[in-house]
Amino acid sequence: MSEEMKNTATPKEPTLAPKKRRRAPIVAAIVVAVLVVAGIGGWVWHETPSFCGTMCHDTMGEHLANYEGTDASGGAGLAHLHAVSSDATTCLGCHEADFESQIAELQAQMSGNYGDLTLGGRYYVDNQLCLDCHEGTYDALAETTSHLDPYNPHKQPHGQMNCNECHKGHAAQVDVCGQCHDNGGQQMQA
Amino acid sequence: MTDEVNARAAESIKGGSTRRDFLMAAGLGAVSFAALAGGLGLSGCAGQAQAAGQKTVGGIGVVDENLFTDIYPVGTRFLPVVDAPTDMVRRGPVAFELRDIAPSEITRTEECDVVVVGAGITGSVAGLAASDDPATKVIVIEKMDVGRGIFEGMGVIGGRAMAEGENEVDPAYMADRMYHAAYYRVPSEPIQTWAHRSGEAADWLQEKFDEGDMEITTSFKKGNPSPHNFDVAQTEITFHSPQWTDQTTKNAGGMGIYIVKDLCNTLSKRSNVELRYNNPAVQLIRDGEGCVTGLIAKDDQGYYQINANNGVILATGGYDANPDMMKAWCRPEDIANSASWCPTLGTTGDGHLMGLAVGAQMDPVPHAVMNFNWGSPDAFYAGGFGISGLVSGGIMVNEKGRRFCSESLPFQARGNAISAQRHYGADCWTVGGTNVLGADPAATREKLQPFIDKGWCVEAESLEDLAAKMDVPAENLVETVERYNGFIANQKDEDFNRPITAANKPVEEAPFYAIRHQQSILATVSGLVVDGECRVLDYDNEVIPGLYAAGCASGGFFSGNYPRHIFGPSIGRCVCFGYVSGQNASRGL
Repeated sequence: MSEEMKNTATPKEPTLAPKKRRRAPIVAAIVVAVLVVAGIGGWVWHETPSFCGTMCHDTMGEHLANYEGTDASGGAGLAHLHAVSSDATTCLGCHEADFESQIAELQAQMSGNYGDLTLGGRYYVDNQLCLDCHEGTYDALAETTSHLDPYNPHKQPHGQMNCNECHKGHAAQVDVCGQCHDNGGQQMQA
Repeated sequence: MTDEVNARAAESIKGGSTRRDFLMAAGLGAVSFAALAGGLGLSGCAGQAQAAGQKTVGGIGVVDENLFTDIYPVGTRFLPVVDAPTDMVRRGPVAFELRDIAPSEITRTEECDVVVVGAGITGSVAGLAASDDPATKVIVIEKMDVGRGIFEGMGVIGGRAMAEGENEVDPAYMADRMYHAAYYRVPSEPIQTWAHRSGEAADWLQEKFDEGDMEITTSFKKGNPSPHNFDVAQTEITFHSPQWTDQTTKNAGGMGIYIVKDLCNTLSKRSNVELRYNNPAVQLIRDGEGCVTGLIAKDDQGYYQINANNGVILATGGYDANPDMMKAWCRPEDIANSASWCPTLGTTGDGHLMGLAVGAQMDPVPHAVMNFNWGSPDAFYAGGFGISGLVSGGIMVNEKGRRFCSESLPFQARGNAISAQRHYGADCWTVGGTNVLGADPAATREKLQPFIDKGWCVEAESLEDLAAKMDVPAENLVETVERYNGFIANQKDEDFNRPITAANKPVEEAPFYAIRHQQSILATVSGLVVDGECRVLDYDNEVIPGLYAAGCASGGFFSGNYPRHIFGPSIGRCVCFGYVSGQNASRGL
């Protein structure tokens, strides 16, 4: 089981699916109240990492700690690396979301359906999002690691992979090449 | 009822609100189209957290289970399964779209005779077979940046290479072996086609290699006799090329990558073929008469339509890179602790979904997967790692420190036996002494070090200490080893009837080793039911005119399990059905 999946709230052992509780009207009311109180300040705050970590502390806290480098792994993965980069990338830099989906996540959080954070669809970040900051295209990226030929991980016979196959956001990096065959002695840096 | 189903299926593709009406009429309830898209990972998931049908299922986050039931052209019902978490989380880009694509979104319309969806082994073969007649205009579209394939042999009956290898196999005998492997839960025609035409397809494939640049040749490869008393004949054709390095041929499945590359290279040179990468097909078009007349594809300019005079061939592969679909249609025990063996991200089941959406019949669930043993917690123990002495030479034990099967079973049976242990085989091991580490135990020991570092392999001077590190009862492990060593001495496995040969060694000589051993999955092999001519059938077993399927997108060939005691029926099917479907589509059969 991959490191990232261990971070989910799902227990390893088979269990019955959690029963859903229908508290939508109450939840909606709370959401409205939160919005009113938060006001304009909330608009600014919601775009910061602390919003993600605070509003959904039960499930997001460990990811925020990882982002900040204060978790047990000392910030293994790309999140912390991006946090301390000169660009100081925030959560939303990689996990693209609009205000509406954040509200939906908050609603799920408050209704107790921690698993329904809709983060599943964003478990893998679209390659282009990475490439937008890193060389623009996959081929251009491959050029930057051409010194690793014939084991260039960005130009190999399997074709383009999803960046997150190897480059994990909130966990130690995974050398996918080396899982199945010799990779020329490479080790992933970060 | 059946006419009604067909009518609905035909109506469903007309566009506008018809699709929605179809789903409603089928009694499947209101469906949020945004949610459907979200379940497929197609949208940013705004506001879907509470959408009907969405739930969190083990290990893979939110899944819209409605999609995988509502997509059927017939009514469905549930069989409850344990919601076990899965390790199969590799997620490729899904191309299929279940929504009404407005005419205004279509940027252009193209005309051709045959469209092939997918340029892996099946699609490249289908494209070549369809374009052998220079009068047939063929478009091959591939979703990914290259077509992919991971294999090193194909299962064939008859043909030139088999004759040269003096390996004559009776087609009727092999067909019966295949039906038997499926416990006869398959229609008759597809297996007949493989049994009687795979030799012809293999001969044709050699001609295509001769037309190509990679100097590929084929020959019969004699394998080990039937493992563990599974009665079967030899069907392996293997590939050679002077251009391949040892690395290519020794990597598991490495040849397949280059075979697909060669076939696609040949395809790209034909004047009556257009081969396009990064062009996903998102939807089939079925007209009012029920004919599939083309599809909607996508490129960097947006959506576009391809009209195919003769038809569309679905060669999209399986869906091992779509965890949602695996959860929906595969056995929980097959995917719980399985690692993925295949680095191909394009296999997201687009063909399955596109076919179902226009009324096609699909193999019953649970679907068959190609599952082997040799899984590690993350991937698999490749032969190239140099640790096969232990992985293949030791005895397999469970969390109780007990053997649970013959280590000589066919690969799929070993995988199944592992998954039948506690927590779907999460705590199974292979145990061996230094005597199984090969001619140079020190060298093998060195190669085990990375696995020891990961905690997957443990080493101890005594079996008791080894048991402690494995967290299994020491007395059980000691007793199991003594008993097994006795079987070796007496040349008889009194528990699991493993055929004892000179290659089987007792567990002796310290230090002792145990390495975690799980199931691995290479592919899914169930799909759209076809007839013997690779024409996709509906639920009345009527041909859907203009729609063909081949390879792992097709069905009616396996049930329950991929039968690995038979060599190569998967790639054998890819090549044979790619050839048959391409030829038929070209002729408009």
